[in-house]
Amino acid sequence: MAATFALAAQPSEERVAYLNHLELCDVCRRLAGQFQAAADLLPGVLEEQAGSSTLKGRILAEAAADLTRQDQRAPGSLREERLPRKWRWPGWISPRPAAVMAALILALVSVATWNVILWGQVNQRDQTLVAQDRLLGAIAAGARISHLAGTEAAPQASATLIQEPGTGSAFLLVKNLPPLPESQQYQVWRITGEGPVPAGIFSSTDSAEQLEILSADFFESDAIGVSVEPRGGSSQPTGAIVLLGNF
Amino acid sequence: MDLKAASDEKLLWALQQKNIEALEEFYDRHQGIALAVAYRVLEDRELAEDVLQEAFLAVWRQAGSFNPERGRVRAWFLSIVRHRAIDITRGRSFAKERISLDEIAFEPEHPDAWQELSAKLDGEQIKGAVATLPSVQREAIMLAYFGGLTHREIADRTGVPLGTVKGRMRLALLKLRSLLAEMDTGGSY
Repeated sequence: MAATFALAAQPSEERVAYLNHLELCDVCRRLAGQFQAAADLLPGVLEEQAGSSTLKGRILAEAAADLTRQDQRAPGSLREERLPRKWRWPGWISPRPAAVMAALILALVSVATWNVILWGQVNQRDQTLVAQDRLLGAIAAGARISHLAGTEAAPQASATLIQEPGTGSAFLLVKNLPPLPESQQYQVWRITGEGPVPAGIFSSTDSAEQLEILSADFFESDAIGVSVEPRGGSSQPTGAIVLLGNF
Repeated sequence: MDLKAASDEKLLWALQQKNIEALEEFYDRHQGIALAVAYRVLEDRELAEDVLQEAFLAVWRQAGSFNPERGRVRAWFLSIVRHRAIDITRGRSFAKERISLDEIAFEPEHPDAWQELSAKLDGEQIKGAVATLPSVQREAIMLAYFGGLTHREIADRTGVPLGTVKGRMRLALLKLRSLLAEMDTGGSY
């Protein structure tokens, strides 16, 4: 596997699964590194080629355009715009105090909104910390760890299932799942001899990584899958399967 | 900073600071071999230059994703170019996605001694070492590395079992590594 990985000769599902494995296996990572170092020499058999006369210019121009776009977005570079002549303050409001009042109201609303956001973030962070503590405890206690690979529907995605024996619950750490519209959620399935059984639902987030706690016992299951379902879930998988893993 | 004398790692740092002269120096240093790799995979000059444009801009925008503990900058950059070129041969279009360096940036750790050795080797030594490989092993790694074929596709093309293809790849890379290490210690090949 290490040699085919180093040469990028694996199909994408296999590569994703192997990358997940490398994150956890020091021995395989060292071996893959040795093979990668040998493979990295292969460009040395080629003769260098000169790019066209316009290639360098195109790259530098695009990079310069990036800088210009960044400058235009920076605060302090906003241009003040004059109100159009036809618009006038109502005669009973003097512009200056009205502007001050508007700024004050805006500031109060912003502070209130920011406080709500911060409180939400603190709550979420606390919940995340509790979940992470439990996860670490489960791993330390010898939890079973299984890897899920992204399918063609989500080749960049991957996940790790950490199962706490005897608790009826498990942790699912997912990475790089595509964002979903509000009308959809991801649903977890444990695959048994009788077919897929619902094992939890979660929404996509803006983060590349998310940790979900599942109230399901996977120890008697043959495999685990994650699919895209209507919000609230389904009794059987109806949408694209994005992650799969065997036990 | 004297960009011409700066190491690749220092150039990347300058790229993170959005130093456009550093990008120019990075281009001048690596475009020759990068274009050779892209062209070898794609066999299309225009597509190869498009890949190069994407790769250089990806580095410009995501220079901070390189981890110096995981290998050389040149190898990292060439893997970006090669992976993108292979994506093209496997049917993923430019329009769909920009290069994400997340997967490519995962470079398995290279032993330090090997990094030092590989930095000293020149093209002639590498060509010589590859030429001494048994032809079936050389074919397997070339089809994979520059042809962008998966092991299964190589097995189908060459008419040998999948396990044999994997074995040839492993033996080729092991032999390449030992030949080049021998060169460094003065042995003949």
